[in-house]
Amino acid sequence: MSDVKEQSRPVFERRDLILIIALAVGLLLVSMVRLSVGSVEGWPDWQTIEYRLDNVVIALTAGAALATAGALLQALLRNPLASPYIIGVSSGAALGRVIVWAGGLTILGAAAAPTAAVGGALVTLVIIYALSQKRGWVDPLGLLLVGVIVNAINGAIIMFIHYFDPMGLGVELNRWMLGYFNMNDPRWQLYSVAAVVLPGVVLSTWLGRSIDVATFSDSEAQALGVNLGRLRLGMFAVAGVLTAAAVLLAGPIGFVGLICPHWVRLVIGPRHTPLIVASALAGGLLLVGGDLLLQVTDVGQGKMPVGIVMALVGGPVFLWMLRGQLGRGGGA
Amino acid sequence: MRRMMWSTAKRIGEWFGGRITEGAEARRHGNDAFVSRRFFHVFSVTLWLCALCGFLLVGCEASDSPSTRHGTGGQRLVSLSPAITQMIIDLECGEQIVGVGAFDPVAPEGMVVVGDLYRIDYEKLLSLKPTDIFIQPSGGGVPARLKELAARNGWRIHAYRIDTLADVFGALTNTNAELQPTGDVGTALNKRREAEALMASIEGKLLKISRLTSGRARPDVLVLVGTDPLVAVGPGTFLNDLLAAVNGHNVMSDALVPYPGLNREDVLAHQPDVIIVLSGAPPEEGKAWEVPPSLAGLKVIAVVDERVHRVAGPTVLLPSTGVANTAARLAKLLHPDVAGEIDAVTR
Repeated sequence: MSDVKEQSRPVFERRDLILIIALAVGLLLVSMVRLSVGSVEGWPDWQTIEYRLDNVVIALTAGAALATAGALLQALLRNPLASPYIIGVSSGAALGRVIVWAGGLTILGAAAAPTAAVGGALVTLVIIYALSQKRGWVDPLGLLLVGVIVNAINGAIIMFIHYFDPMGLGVELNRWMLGYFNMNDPRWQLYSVAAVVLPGVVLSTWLGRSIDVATFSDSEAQALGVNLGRLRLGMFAVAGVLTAAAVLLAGPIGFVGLICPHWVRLVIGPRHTPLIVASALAGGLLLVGGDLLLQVTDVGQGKMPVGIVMALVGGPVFLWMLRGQLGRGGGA
Repeated sequence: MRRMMWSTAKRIGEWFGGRITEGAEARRHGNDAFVSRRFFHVFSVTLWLCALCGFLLVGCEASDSPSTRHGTGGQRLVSLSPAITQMIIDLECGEQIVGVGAFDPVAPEGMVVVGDLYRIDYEKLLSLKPTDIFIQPSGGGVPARLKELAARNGWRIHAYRIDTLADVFGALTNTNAELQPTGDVGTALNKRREAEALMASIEGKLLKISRLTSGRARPDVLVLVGTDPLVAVGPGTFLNDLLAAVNGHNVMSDALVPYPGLNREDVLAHQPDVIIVLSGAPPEEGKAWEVPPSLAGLKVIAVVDERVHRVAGPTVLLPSTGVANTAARLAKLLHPDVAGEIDAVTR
């Protein structure tokens, strides 16, 4: 009976549309303000606006990618605490990037960093998937535990490379790990990464109703015609690519992938088509807003890394959200 | 083409466990369809837009005009390397500096800071309208974005890897294109003759100090650039070269990395005769320096004989034109009996 009701509901309800439009308008406004604020006072010239636009694109893309990846992983693992940062996908992508920094894969030239980051994220996902699946079926709790351990291993390898520091990259690596928007890479690379993220978000939205069904029990989902094995593998791959893109653009930033889907779910409920669209917009808004906040604050040593701001703001917000849920004895 | 895209989208949808419907089939399935035709359109339009953006961007990149060379008169210099800032000032071009990197101890006061090599503030850099940018890149090389902006705005980038004493001289005056692809600092500032004279003066001082200290007992020396945790000076560094020039034996000269980390046990094992702690911070006046806790109480010759010294100053850690003065300060600590003669050399 409830299935019939579910099927007859429109993809986007009025409440979903109101939130999505509000987020889109908010994002547009914050982006416009960001374009007018920066290191240089007064009316900026075209090149400066172009530079700020790149900054907005990085923040928007990284935020949308992380939030979408978070929504996918939370559905996939049926665990609201799952996020690219927590289960080690971010650290896998970071490891790939660090290997290139330390002098590896130079044969690939400019494509080395993106290839290594995507490779690192996907290899991490494959390892997590391989270790946590049994005869093709993934145990969500086992997967989460394996993810946490793989995350620790990735972190240890990064520290190992850092220790030997073969190219004198100690400072650079430290800063990048704090979560900085990477403005040193060429523009074509930035827009190529953004061009990968957009279809990734659209594809995730497209799969929204299948993901809804996949959150039922395995037997129910299969009875409704969803091939769970393939769907999970597909979601894994999309989440991996999106996370790698975000790490390439801004380093490993936590909390965005955790908080945005959580918050959106609290407002509009768990249906994934609107959830993914709204989460992507909320992720973009959060990072563009964070970047704007950095432009108007000066802590004496230049602009603070956005990763620190996200942790400072995101951590307490997440605790507050979690507190409400714990009181009711249920997840978000 | 359209048929092929539709078929591909349908297969992707089905592969993920959804169903894709078209025409009469859609009406039959109604809302049972997980993937609608509308989504297919959105997906394909997005893909086309992304491809279009990609082509446009590649086209824009290809159409960027090559850099135009500026003349050497009226240069506006930005130095993202403290070592090169000092070279520029010593070549009497300090007034042409319009921007420096963060944490530059020798930068003229009130100078605009444009971030550092790891996080360049491109907005500020653009606003300064520089003609020449001097950097000391790490393993990652010159940042791609900096190269892009330089090509668009006609900035000249001068990049130097300065690790050893030979690198210092190379950066200052070496015009060998293989060693210095972007030319040396002297040539970049149109001060080639002055740079050669400066290098000759530094080399002359180093040679005199070396002569004064040679033939004497050669102490085992541990040079530290950090005390908590302990970080020493190893091979492949200008400080290692300076130590050799003043007749000191670096106990960490066989380390695997330029700046190896140590613990107290390592210090005990090497038993240095002298320990020198280098610091970029200015010496604190009126306050006696104390042996750091990480070295205090160690049963090593240097600590027992009270030969743990501190050499502090903004230029001590810079591989630049101040190396002769640093060498002199090291030499006086290792060979105090010739301190007077060494002072005469650097005066």
